[in-house]
This record gives sequence, C-alpha cells and structure tokens, in this order.
Amino acid sequence: MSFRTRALIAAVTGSALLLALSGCAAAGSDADSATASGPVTVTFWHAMTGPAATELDTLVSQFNEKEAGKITVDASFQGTYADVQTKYTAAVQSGSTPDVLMMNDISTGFMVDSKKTTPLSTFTDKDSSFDADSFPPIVSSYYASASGGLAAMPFSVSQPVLYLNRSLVTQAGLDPDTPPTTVAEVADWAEKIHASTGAYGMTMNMSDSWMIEEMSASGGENFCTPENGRGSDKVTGLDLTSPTQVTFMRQLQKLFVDGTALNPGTDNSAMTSAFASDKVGMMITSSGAYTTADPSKTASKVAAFPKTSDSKDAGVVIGGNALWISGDGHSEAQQKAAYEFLTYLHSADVQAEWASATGYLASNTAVADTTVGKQSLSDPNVAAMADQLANTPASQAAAGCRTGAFPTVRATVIGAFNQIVEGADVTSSMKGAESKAADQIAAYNTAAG
Amino acid sequence: MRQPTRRSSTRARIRGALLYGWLVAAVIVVCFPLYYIFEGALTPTAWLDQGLEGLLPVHLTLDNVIRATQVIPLGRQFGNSLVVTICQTVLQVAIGIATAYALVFCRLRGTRALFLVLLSSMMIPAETTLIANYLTISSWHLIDTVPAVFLPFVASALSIFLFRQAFLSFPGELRDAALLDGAGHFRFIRSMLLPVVRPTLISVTLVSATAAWNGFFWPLLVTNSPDNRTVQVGIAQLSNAEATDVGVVLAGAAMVTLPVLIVVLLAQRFLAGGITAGALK
Repeated sequence: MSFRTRALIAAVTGSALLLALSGCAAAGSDADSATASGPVTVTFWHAMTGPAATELDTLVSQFNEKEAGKITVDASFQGTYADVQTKYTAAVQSGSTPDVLMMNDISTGFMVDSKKTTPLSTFTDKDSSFDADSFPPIVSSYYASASGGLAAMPFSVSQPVLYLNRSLVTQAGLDPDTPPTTVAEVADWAEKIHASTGAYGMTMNMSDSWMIEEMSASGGENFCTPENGRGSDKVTGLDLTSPTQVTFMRQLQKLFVDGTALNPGTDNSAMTSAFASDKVGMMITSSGAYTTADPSKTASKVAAFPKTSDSKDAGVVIGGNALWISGDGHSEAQQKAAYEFLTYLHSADVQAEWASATGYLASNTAVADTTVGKQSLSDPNVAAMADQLANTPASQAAAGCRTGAFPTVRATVIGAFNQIVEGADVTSSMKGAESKAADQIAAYNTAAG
Repeated sequence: MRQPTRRSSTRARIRGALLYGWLVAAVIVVCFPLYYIFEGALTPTAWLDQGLEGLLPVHLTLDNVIRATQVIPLGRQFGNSLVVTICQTVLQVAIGIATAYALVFCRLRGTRALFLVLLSSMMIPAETTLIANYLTISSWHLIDTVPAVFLPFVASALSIFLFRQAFLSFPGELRDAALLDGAGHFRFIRSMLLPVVRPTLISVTLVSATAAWNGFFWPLLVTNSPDNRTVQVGIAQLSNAEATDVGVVLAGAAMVTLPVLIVVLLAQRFLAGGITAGALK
C-alpha cells in the first residue's frame, strides 16, 4: 500500500468519525435556544440526591404544569456541591452557565465574589408582592447582599440541634425533657450516660470544622476576622483562640480522649445510624438528620443547640442551600422566568411540602399557617427545631463567616481539631490553624482580585 | 536421622497451614465488600440497618433494584456507558497500535524525542487539563453529548507505551521475512504482530475498558441531562449524606460493578500479565 493510499484512508476515516460526532452533537444541543416569543426554558442545576431529588423533581413538574406554554424549567442533578462548583467555574469560562444554580451555604462567599449572578434584590425591589419579612431574620442576614436585600433565594435551610436518645438518657437517671443547654452540661451528661450505660455519651460531625464554627457562634464569637466578613472588608483570617473557644474545645477534647464521645471521622451516616441503634446517648448534628436518626419520631428528644457562653449575640448559623440567578449572558426574559420559579419555590405551600419531605426547615415563616406545615409542627421535635430557627438573633456571630476560601479553610481547621481530640494542646494547635488559614485566605483573596 | 526429617515435615506443615490461613484471611478481606454489595442490593434497608443480622442473605427481594431504576434512567445510562466504553476502548487500542507501530518499525526520524514527549504527557495530572478540555469540548458545541465523554481520551500515552514495549521485543528477522513475502503494514500487523503480542493487546483493552467504564468526574462535567449521562454519574444521585437508603445505593453499586466483575473474571490471567509487561525490559 502506497503512502498516498494510506493518507487517503486516514483522511476518510477521520472525516467519517467527525461527521458521526457532529451528527450526535446536533441532536443534543438545541435545548438552550429559547426564543423571545415562545416558552422560556430555564436551566436549573442542583445537587439534591435521594428522597430530596425526587421531591424537587415533583416541585419542578408542578411549576412547569402551572406555567405551561410560558416557562419550562429543565432541572438536572450535577453532583455534590463541590462538583457543582467546579462545573460552574468551567461553565463561566465557556459562557454556558445555567439560568438557576443551587449552591450550598459555605459557597455563598465564592458566588458573591464570582460576580456572575444577579442579586435577588434586583428582582425583589421591583416586585411589590415580595415580602422581605417572610424569612426568619437569621436566614435573611445569612444571604444578605452588600447592597442590602438578598443576594440569593434561600431554599433549603437547616440548623444543627441536639438529639437525645430517650432510653439511654433515662437509664442514666437523667430527664430528657429538661435537656442540657450548654456544652459544659452536655459534657457532664455525656460522662454520666457513658458511665452508667456503657454506650457512648455523645457524638457530633467531625468531617469538617462545621461544629467548631457553630460552637463559636453559640458563644457569640466571630469565626472569621474582621467581622465574619459581614462588614465592608473581606475576611483575612480566622479567630479560633478566644477564651470561649478554647474552653469548649478543651471540654470536647476531654470527652474524645477518655472515650466518652464517639468520633465518627468523615462518615456522617455511620454517626446517625449509631445514634439510631442506641449506641450513642446524645448527638449534635443537622436538623436534616431527624428522619434517619429517629424514624419512629418518638425515641428521641430534639433540644436546642448547646450554648458556649451567655452572650446575647449567641446563635446558631444556618446551613443548607440557596438558589442563584445567572446574570452575564442570560436574557432579561430568562432571568425574569428564573425569578418566577424562585418565588414559586419560596411560597408557603411549596416550602411546607419541601420541609416535610426532606427534613429541611421551612425558610418561609408563613409555613406555620399551612395545612402541611401545621401537621409537621404537631411533632414537638419539629416544633423545637422551628423555634430555634425563629429565635436565632440576626447577630454577626450567628450570621456566620462569609469567605470564598471557606471550603479550603474548613479542612485546615478540622485537621487541627483532629489532633486536639488525640490529645494535642488546644491553643497551640489552633494558633497553627489560624496562621495556615490566613495564608490560604490571602491566596484566595489574591486570586479573586 | 529420622527426627530432623519429621521436624522439618512438621515445620513445612505448619508453614503450609499458616500460608493457607493467611490466604483465607486475604480472600475474606477482598471478597467481603463484594459480598456486601450484592447481598445488600437484594436486602431491604430496614434489615441492613440492623447491623450483623443484615449480613445474612435471608430476606432477598428485588425491591431495591426496582427503586433504583425509578430514580434514574438506568437503562438509557447503561447504554451510554456501553457506547462510551466501546468507542473509547476501540479508539485507544487502534490509535495505540498505529502509533507504537510507527514509533518502532517505521524508522522515522526523531521517534525517540517524540516518544519522550508522549511519555511526558503521562506526568501531567488529569485535573490540570480538565478546564482546558472542557473549553475545547464546549467550543466544538459538544457539551451534553455522549461523544464529549470519550473524545478527550481516544489516545492514551499509556497504551502507546505498552504497545511500544511489546513491539520492541518482536524479532526484526521475522518482520523482514514477512516483508520479503510481500506483506504490507496492515497485513503484517494483523497476521504476525498482534498474535504475538496478544497478552498486551488483551490487557491494554481491559485496562482501557475498565477506565472508560469507571469514569466519573469528566462525564459529570460535560453532560447535563440524565439522558446523556453514564451510569456511574447516575448512581451518584442515589446516595444521600443525611438520609441514606443503603439498600438502593448498594443496588446501584451492584449493577455497575457486575459487568466489570464479569469481564475481569473472564480475563484476569491476561490482566495480571499485562500490568507487569514491559516492567523488566
């Protein structure tokens, strides 16, 4: 075979392949071209899995039915929040961002810094039917934008609470209906439960620094300086060595070192099933774990997150996710349709459905007056969670830290805390974490410009 | 002299017993996760949550599998995974053979430098090329299509390297003889070269195929709609951080593991041979 024949074969094979591929491409890529006159397609990327994914699909199809002929929401799962963030970064560079993006609590700083979204307040300012007071105060302050109003639409809200295993607590001679209210009391109860039942006294999330953040807030302490990133300046470092923080970390250290507390490592579901199967007396974790931790809804008592000081700023930082509307490269019609979708998801009836199906807390205060909401709140445990959310003061400490470097520094802090629960000195370990985190935040701030 | 013999035979027996004990322990460690996946896939979550009792295969049902297929379009995604795996493997192997052949037999100038360039591409972590690949795929308007999943991986430096090492050991005289008899390049490759390097061919195919089948992050990145996704991405939606339905997750895992398991069991002797191929040259 001569060189020419071979070259010809190669060329023909190559172009045949390309043709085949472009054929596939043409079939798949015409979804995003919504014309101004026809129905508007809103693409929506989310990170919901399991039962929450099923419920979200139901809500989306209800909305599509309601807006038939005008708006079609095209929802799709995009992996974990970290995956969504990577994918979104890539999409920003190629100009293919979705109309609506779901992002988790701690990525709020990153989303604000990326400046690729239109603040929700742009739409709510023009919408007379929008009620800014329909959110619990701490929810509005968590997602507040620099210009006032909201940066994104809060969708799923959760808070950590204290779960007590009724039978283990009673066996230890304690009354689950007068639960401990401070971390010091929790430590005391944990020792008693461990001593008299042999089960672990308590457990909490250890996969990242979430609990350290929460216990700082529940002592009225800022986690980040300056001002938790809530003032006019960007966050430049972490604050981990205030007397309140050192005290609660020493209390926790003792529990872990002497084997009273169960360290679940990175496996949160192992922690929840240990609680559900009577191996742990108390558990501090998300309100969202309720249905898994206590399927019968009567074996446990849900109490408020323990405080670490009696400061009036003390509160509990919210978690969960919010919905962001893309700005750059998205037409006004698309953004408006996206806003329609978000207000639908915020409406009292939808929030009531969402909360009851997923275990998230309702982000609309009017949910208490809906039929579904009333039914959920008849469970005293759910009512305790709702009370905690409603009563959290909108303080700087309780609003929590906002920095785009949050996902990075969380790993640094939990690394240091893992050494502490192995016996390392609290102050020096946390000083080390403070300086490492300051470098990481500086690197992020330089990159973000 | 009888005693030492007996002692040494006792010693050999103890050594044998220890060895078998160790092997049995190793088999349990390796096989337990597989057992758990398949047993768990067929056992209701309520039983799995019981702890040790859940490990006994007494409550078998297809319920988990059915629920898993209700959450995600598994059939369609299985099809996509098959298309991706076949296309990626066939192209990787074909391009690998062609490139290695050119490098070894065609006596071109600068092949050594070219080979080093190819090898150096193996040193670049995949994460760093992620965004660049995404932008390329996006500029070709292939985002959210099946070809986007395998296109960046149709040529692999590793396969080229493995084929080159295998081709190097092919006797030059045999090739000369074939050429004298009038065999062209394709004829030579098909009738002489590939039969001789069959173990390498099979192991490269298997390694490429398992890598293609198991891909997760790239397929997630370049596809948006469930219908264009591979099954690995699909089953990710089954697990949930706070409300884990273990049975459904295991059902998904079992369905994804099964094809790879069958292929590996059928061809394992080639797989182990291929990994060390070229290591001692």
